[in-house]
Amino acid sequence: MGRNACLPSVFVTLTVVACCPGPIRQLSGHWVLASPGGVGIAAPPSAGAPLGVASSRAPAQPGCVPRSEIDRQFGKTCARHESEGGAQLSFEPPPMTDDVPIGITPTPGEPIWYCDKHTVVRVVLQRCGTSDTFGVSQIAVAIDKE
Amino acid sequence: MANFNDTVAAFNALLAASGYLLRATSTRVTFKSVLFGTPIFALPDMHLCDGGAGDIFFNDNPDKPRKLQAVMQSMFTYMTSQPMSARALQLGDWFDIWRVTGQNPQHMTYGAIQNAVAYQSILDLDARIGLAHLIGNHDAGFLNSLPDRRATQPHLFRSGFWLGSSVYALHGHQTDIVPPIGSSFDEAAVALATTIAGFIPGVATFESYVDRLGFGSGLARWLLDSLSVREDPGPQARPSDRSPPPPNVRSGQFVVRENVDHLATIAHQVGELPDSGGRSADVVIVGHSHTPSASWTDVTGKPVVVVDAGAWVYDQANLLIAAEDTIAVFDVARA
Repeated sequence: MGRNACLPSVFVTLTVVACCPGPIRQLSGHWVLASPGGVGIAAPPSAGAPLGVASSRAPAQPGCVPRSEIDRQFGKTCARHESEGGAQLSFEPPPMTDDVPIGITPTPGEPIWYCDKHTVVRVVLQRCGTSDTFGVSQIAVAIDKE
Repeated sequence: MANFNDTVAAFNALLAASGYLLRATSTRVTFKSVLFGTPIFALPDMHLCDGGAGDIFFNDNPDKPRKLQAVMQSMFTYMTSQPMSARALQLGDWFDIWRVTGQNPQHMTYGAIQNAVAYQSILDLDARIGLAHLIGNHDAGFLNSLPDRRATQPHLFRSGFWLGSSVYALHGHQTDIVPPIGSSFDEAAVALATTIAGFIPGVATFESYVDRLGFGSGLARWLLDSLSVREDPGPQARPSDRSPPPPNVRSGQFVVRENVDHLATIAHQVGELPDSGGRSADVVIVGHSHTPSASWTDVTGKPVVVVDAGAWVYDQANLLIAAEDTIAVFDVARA
């Protein structure tokens, strides 16, 4: 089983339904699917079945796509958001007075924050090997209650 | 071991593919022994802003990000085609948070920089290389929150780094401000060295880390001020140093520069820390002043050469390369 297969499937919609009886409001006009099986535009929902990447839009490498492709689907990254710093209890610090590593040390993963007026989506990417493509390992959504 | 001239030639060949080349400056020092067994590529102060008016990196010149992309691509290709062949470091002031947000951000206010269209390829390469960054005074917000793309690598954002057993690097802003009343610089240097060497973003907030060290409120406040987001002092005069070069140097042109004793003292104090494992700086690499130069001092009891790598602000585009027995600063120019 591949590494990505262990990751949770997550579906995020950028489509919201407004108060009845108005028309369905769409922020981007499509569903974005991000799961171990693929990242891309999903086929329309049907009969309560899980969404899947529309076959005509399936990436060549399922699950691993360039970051720019993910950006294109999810929209605007945040101008300002909560800190990714502070104190992490789980972080094991390297020794004091560490050396600059020899050779390259690509990021193993990267968070991306997407912001709308009332919604923040934090996507955590995992790099596929040492390539410049990524899979999605987690998506969290915060919606303004006011 | 990589010869200096071979290293520069190999890098130049990679850079030529993008239409750029390295042009020598007067900053070059050759030692009598090998100090750079593993080659070093060091990018000085960048000051990436939002890509618009007032961005002192972009400087209304679309060639500027292309040039930096070409240099970083060459670093990436060099280190992937010859694995474990070199160290790559950026010397601080990567982002100009001070100029873009005007505050010390506890929360992430870097969006205007991170989202600048002109910088996307640069930030891609930064993440692919896993470039190590010193933290400067214009991006001291990194002490508390890292750029999104590098958030998983806090250990690669430090206030000081060793590059082998005899080379230390720090941004250089740590000596700008006068020590607190009642303290000499030597006393303050111990506190600075402990903080520079020990703090890693993500372990704690910077303020709580300094508090825990228990230096007292005066010195703690001074540490927070000296390492925080702030503007630079003005340019300094640097006359030529007419004295004989240090005994461990074969050739080099030196200048008399401000704060050279203080920079060497901080690196010496870092070397005195048990975790330095006996390493001792013969060379200190800095940025901050934006002016390439080499200077030296024996204030710590042995010759220490301080090399300033310049900057990428306005029309500047410098790269420091060190290999074998030689360290030099180059201009990156159109071929």
